[in-house]
Amino acid sequence: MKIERLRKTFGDLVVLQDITVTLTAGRPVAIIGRSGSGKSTLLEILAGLLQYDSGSILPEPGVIRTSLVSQDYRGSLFPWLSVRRNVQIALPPHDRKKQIEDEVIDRVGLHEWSERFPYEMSGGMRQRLAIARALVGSPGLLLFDEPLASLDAVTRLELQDLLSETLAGATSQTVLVTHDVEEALYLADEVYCLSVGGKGLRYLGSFNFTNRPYSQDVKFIPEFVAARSALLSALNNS
Amino acid sequence: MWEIISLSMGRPLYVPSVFHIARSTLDIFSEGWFYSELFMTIWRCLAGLGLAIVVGIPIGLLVGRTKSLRALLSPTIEAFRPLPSAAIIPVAILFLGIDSETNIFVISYGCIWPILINTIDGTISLGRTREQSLKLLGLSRLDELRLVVLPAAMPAVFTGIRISAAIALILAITVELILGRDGLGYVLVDTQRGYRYGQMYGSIAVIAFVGFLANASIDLMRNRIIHWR
Repeated sequence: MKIERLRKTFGDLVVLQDITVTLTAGRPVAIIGRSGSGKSTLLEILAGLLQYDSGSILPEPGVIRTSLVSQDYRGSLFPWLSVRRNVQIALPPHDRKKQIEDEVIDRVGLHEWSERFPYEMSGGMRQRLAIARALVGSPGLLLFDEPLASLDAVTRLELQDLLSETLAGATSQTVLVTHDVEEALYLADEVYCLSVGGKGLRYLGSFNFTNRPYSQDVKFIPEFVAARSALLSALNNS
Repeated sequence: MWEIISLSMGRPLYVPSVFHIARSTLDIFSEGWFYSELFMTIWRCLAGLGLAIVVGIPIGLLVGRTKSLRALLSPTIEAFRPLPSAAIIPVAILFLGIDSETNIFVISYGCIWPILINTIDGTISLGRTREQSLKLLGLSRLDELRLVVLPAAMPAVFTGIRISAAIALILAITVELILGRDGLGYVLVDTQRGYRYGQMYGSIAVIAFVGFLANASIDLMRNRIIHWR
């Protein structure tokens, strides 16, 4: 997906301006930025949920099958459907009887919960379910809008590892929006910074520390620590 | 409280003691005719409420999810909704006569509005995140309504059904009072005219109990169906 000089305003307020980025399958992109910088707005545009004012996106949003995982897992899941049905519903009708969802439910560690309901699960498990639904059927575009923000620290680390493993083998184009600099480095190959007030998207670099998927130990190696400092500095200046 | 009032008034015929009311109530239950009147009222309530549910929920779903349909039908809904259901009884008698059809028509007319309005309210917006999820899933219109919209709206739908159940009983008794042919409403009029006040109050107690049972049944059904609450 190629995004060029994207612009979005809400009335007089310029939220996004001069946004240019190219997504590549298998190379997750992270976008960091302060609150109010337009990160979620950008994701909604890429998902086809919001119209943009000018610029171009090729192919147009909606053409590629797209999944979005947000931090509001309660809102996105359907509590009246079982875990299996919540995942199955994301498949095209002709695929729903093939039990394709079993593999992805196993992958996120919810095999024993397939016939249970979201309200019987913890927050971390529900977010695993949201991730399973996003992954099923291999969508062309995967969007994550601060997916781990509302989880406790321990659960967040567990799900970081899950996402790391999942994205390492994914053939989707992936965009992860986060305010957590460490998470951006852990999960993505390329990092961009979105500035507040529509001042554009700045490319911060391509990061690869060891072979993916990473383990949590990578956060202590000098290159990771240095990259984290650099990104924090960029975030402060945005 | 009733006993105090009855005693203070010197036990007039029309304010009998609680004991007398209780005994009279048992008397009417021992008489076979009462059951057919009770059944008639309950059947009319169920038929009228059932019709309102079968018509109100699908229309509510479609109107709630279709902006153009909502714009088209809102004036009509707002015009007919405030009309007291009792006001259409003469019209119903004119077209349907003085049989059960009149009762059922008036009951369903009165019951449909809470169900319709609550269903519309429950489906207009499912919440921002859920609406986004729904759009991205790309479901067919039927799957969207069946798998997501209707379940999401069930709490609001059941609120409408609960309100309508009370309205059903009120209208059933009202029409039976007017038509004076059968049902618990007729029993009220008949016992009042026959000076059988103990049985009259006993019938009122039975009507209240029917209402209580209806409420309890709906709550039970709601808890079974909306298991995720």
